[in-house]
Amino acid sequence: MNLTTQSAASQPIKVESVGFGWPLIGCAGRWLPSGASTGFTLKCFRRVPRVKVNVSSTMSGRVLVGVKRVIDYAVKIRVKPDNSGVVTDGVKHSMNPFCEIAVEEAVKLKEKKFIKEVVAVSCGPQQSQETIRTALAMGADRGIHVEVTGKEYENIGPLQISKIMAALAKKEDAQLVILGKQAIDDDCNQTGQMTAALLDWPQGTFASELTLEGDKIKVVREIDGGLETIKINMPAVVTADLRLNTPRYATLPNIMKAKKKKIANMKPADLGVDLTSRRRGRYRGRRSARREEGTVY
Amino acid sequence: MASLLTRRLQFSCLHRFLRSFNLNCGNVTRCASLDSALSAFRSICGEGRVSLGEAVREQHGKDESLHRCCPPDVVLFPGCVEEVSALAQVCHRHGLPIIPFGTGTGLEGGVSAVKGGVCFSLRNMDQVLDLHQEDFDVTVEPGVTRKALNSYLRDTGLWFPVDPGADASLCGMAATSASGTNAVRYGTMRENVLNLEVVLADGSVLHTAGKGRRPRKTSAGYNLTNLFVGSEGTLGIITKTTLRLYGVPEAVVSAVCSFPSIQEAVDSTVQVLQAGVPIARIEFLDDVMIDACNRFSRLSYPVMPTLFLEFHGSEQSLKEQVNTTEEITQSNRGSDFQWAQEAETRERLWKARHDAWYAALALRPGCKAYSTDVCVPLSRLPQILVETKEDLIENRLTGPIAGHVGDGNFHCLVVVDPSDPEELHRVHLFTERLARRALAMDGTCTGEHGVGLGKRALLREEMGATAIQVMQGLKDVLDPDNVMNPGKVLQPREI
Repeated sequence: MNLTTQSAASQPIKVESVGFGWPLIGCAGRWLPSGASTGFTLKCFRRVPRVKVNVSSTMSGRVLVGVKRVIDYAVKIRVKPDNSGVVTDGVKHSMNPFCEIAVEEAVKLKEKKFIKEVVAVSCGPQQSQETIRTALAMGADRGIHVEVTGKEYENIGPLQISKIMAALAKKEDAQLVILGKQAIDDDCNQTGQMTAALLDWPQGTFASELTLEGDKIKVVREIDGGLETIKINMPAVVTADLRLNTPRYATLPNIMKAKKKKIANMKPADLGVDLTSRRRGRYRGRRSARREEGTVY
Repeated sequence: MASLLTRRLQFSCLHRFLRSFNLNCGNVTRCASLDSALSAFRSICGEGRVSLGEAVREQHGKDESLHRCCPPDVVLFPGCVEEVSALAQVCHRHGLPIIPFGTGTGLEGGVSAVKGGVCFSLRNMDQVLDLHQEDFDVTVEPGVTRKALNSYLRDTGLWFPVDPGADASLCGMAATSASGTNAVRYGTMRENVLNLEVVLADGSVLHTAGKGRRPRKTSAGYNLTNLFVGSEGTLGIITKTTLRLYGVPEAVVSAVCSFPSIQEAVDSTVQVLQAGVPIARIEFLDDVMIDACNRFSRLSYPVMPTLFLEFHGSEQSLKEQVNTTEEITQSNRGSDFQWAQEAETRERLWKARHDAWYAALALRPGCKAYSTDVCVPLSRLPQILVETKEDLIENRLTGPIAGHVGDGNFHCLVVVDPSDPEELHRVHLFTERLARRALAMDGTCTGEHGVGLGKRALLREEMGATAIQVMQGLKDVLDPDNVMNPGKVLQPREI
């Protein structure tokens, strides 16, 4: 494991090693109980010199970013009276915060000229187009809206989304798929991993740092014991964690420009994806017990 | 004889001063009128929204100032303007004082219930209503704070730039006419409130610019909106405010520059403004403050008066702005001009300014800080700063200075031991001298924080008898029984 050492000096000391997609095993570092990023490691592998090279010509230079329309994080969620779900009508929706971080990272890669095009993808009803427009205002080049409505939309889950993303990644010849690590409404944390498995691509999940080096990606992952650095081949799937970056605000001129960018419409059947849910049973919400105000003697 | 007189005077001053910080708060026992009102309160807003709990009352009796907690007798949590109006009618009938409460982040004791009474905590009314993107306006309820509104607006490309530092309620900011670091470019609350919905002392609901109206400008009738902005809850309870929004800046650049003396720093500020640079923030930290920040945040700024600048605009215009400003600072013997555009580097450059409050507190651990607040015309700023620093040194007070020099407004963060009455007395005299110094320079005794409890006498000196008479007349018309936040802004007539 690679762990950063926070010493009295202001700069943390990072020790890097090459794992070719596997975490280092047999670390002789000491694990301290407090804080996620203290400890040290032995340098076991030969260090590969870091060479920043622009994307090679064989790659398409295209990044797919998944964005999900969820209830805004600041809204107080209310359960429907019949306990069948949460109230969504008239409630403010916005882009999932982790998806915002994913879009920001993709746009940053484009600004640094590592990739050529950012495509924002969203699956859902007509309103999902607003979420794609926000991604376009942040700097994505074009959008794809996969239309899923009604009963199908209520039952859709990470498995179906990952099938759609995998099909799109192949169709668009993407070299990188960046997703948020999880959605704030279901907290599943499954879509990224399932997409990678369906594509048989390497995955760098919980990324807090992302660097493209030739046709490989160096990902610093946030894990329970601290930080882990891995190097994976492209094409790959990366999921964004909280500290990857700070998403930019969409400015008015960019929102105006985004209105002219294209959003392609398609249905899951066009991608050959079957949306049947493997889940049984329906959502059953329960309000927590009411707390009564009493007198303290 | 003379020494005896002066000693007597000192004692009475000390006594009066200590009393201002240790007021006889409220009614210890609930009176009969409150008991009968309580059942009316409960029937209006429900059992769970009326609180007599001691912890809840104490929480609603203090803010971020040094004034002691004066808890109200009861705290109400209304949910809509109809409830506020009905509750206000009950209070009016029973003659109970009404104290509106937003987030309790005020700095002048505006929420202290000096005569007891009923606190209206408006935090349950937290909806953002009526956003009009093309018209650049939004209407919010009192429970919406500044950061919550900007988070709500993040997809729209709009923001509300008035930034007083704390995450304050927007209606509370309207009530105290708040300002902030962005005022030099975007203005204060006075310029950015289009309309207010106010519940008056007798329960009637007033729309200061007409119900639902939000034109960007108007010349219709008396300017009631700006009458209530800054009234600090003494004229009515603000239950809705319509705010002017601005576009999020396309790009932001931050810069830092040190100067050998205060005069040069202020000269640079004046010249930057005269050159027409639309600077967004221009903040001044004196050498004592920079030293404190260096120690607290482990930075290495040169220990000299320093300006922190921020520019908003498009990429091209930013280049021009930064170049013009750099030339001006260099011609004023400025050194170490650094600037940055990337978010992380900007954060690091401005870290000293952001942590200023905590750095000042860290100078003397275990002490509290009191922030003074005066505003003078720009040309008098160097003189008042120099005189204030001499005053601080002469009276052995720790008072690093941070200021919004673009407006001529500065704060001394006086760090004081709250358990030492002698030091508190020195601080009190110092703040009075500072306010009088500012008044003598055509300035004001409070630039942003409001009058509240502690500056009522200074307001009288600043405004003069006629203006105070007019203010008292307005208060008598809108609140003849003096139930709205009594004891604030205007002195009681007996004195």
